Amino acid sequence: MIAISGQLLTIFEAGRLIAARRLSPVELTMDCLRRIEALEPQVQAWVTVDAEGALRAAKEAERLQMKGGLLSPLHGIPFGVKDIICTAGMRTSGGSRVNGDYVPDYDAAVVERLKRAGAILLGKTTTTEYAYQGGEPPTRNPWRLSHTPGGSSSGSAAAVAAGMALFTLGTQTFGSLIRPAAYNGLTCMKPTFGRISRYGVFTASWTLDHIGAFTRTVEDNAIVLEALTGADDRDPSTLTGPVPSYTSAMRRDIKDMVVGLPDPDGFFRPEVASIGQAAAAAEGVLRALGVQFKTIKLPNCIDEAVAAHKMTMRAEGAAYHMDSYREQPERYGPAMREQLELGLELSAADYLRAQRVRTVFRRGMMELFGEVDALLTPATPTLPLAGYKTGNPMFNGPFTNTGLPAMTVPAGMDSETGLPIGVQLAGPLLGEETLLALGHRYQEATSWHLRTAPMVSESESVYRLSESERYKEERT
Amino acid sequence: MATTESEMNYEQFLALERERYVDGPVTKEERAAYERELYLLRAFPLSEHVALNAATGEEAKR
Repeated sequence: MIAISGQLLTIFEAGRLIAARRLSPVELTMDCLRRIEALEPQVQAWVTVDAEGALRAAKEAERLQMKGGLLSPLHGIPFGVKDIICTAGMRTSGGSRVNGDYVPDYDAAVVERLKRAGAILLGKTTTTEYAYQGGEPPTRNPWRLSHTPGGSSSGSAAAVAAGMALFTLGTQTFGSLIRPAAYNGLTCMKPTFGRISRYGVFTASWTLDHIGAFTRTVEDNAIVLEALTGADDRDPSTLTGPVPSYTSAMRRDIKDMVVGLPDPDGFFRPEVASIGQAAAAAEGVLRALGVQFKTIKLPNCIDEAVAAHKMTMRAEGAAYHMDSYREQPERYGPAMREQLELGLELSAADYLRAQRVRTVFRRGMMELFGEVDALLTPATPTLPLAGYKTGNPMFNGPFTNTGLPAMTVPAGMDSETGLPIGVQLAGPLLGEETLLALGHRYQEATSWHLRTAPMVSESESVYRLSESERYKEERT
Repeated sequence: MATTESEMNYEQFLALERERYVDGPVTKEERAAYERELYLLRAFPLSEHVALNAATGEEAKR
């Protein structure tokens, strides 16, 4: 990826340079491909890289660029997608041996939308088996190669952190967007349930699956979210109505917004001191920007809600895989098989009871947002773990369970390990705009999101734009 | 066959994961967690008016 004064270009910056014909989509794509070539042996973020297809698409984007026919702010921007998202003519393995050679003949709705917007598909990123717990890929955290990037969207997070793509898509059924984003020093939004069509994406759990994008900044996330959002009659869970202008919403004034703080010794108590310190520092930054804070009490059925969440995943996963699992159980990895076995055991009555518990919990969570505009919590209870286990998603579960939007922004570094730390902002139903505004103002006041993993700074970038081309000058 | 240290580490991790399941597809720990979660759900008092996945949750207020 092209760097400006040692920093990687954001989508917004690259988009402006492309619009000004100072950067070609072909150059940008080639730079991503070169970085993949250089760093992939260590990071292992990709299942498939389609260099030829990406360059072909980039040349077409360049042709349109020269004619002044830019399709969107994503025109010519290279991206990757998690390997449970279908891509026409490109293998979609689901991170599994079950049907690992599957080549779809169609694009998922999100891929369709991004291609239509002129973005350049680089390839597919690693995932745990069918985005479930277990079946971890070998992918490494670019900030520290001995550690996990998190999961299940392991490759998507690692690829952006390693500067191999300007953004990637992932999914979250428990904590698989927010957790890996925080572990890799990235920004990510898990939008309201139904905001983004899941047509063409392998199901982990029908009532819990969400799609989101890994980006470096809130500004970039707003751009991608705007391209992805909207009703789709092929996914009946999608919400109808107009698509908000997220890029405008993020510039809203946040002064006098009220943000709720859950008991720091309760459910959201981190296991590592530096995570709590980063959350407290983020609170301080937002206070200085005029945000007010209020202590809130979470619904008292949170343990039952977690149980309901896990039972829902087991049962819905088992229902989705039932035929295939009965035919070839031995092809599933052991951790996934364990969950499917338990899911098949669960009675319909208990599954329905879990859904009713979720109703009560959601009601409680939604009532909280009558008191506050958003919540602020640590994004994860721990730092990325050494080894391959993808970490604890518990802090992200309440918002996946209820379908409420949540976002993470980088908020610190652990001084001992050099690993990034994120905070989580969560909002009411359809409250993405509030979260984007809080996150964007926070990033205007901080620089955590500008930091890059040491391996990225050390790697060569083919194009290093001169100081006179610094985007900041253009922005004025 | 693993050749690099990283590949060997990963293969060792996978082997350890497989070992956890030598006694069957569900480990004792996961079985215990499942039973505990089931108990929590069944013990939770639910009004007869609470339906599933009600977006507004009005039923839950009664």
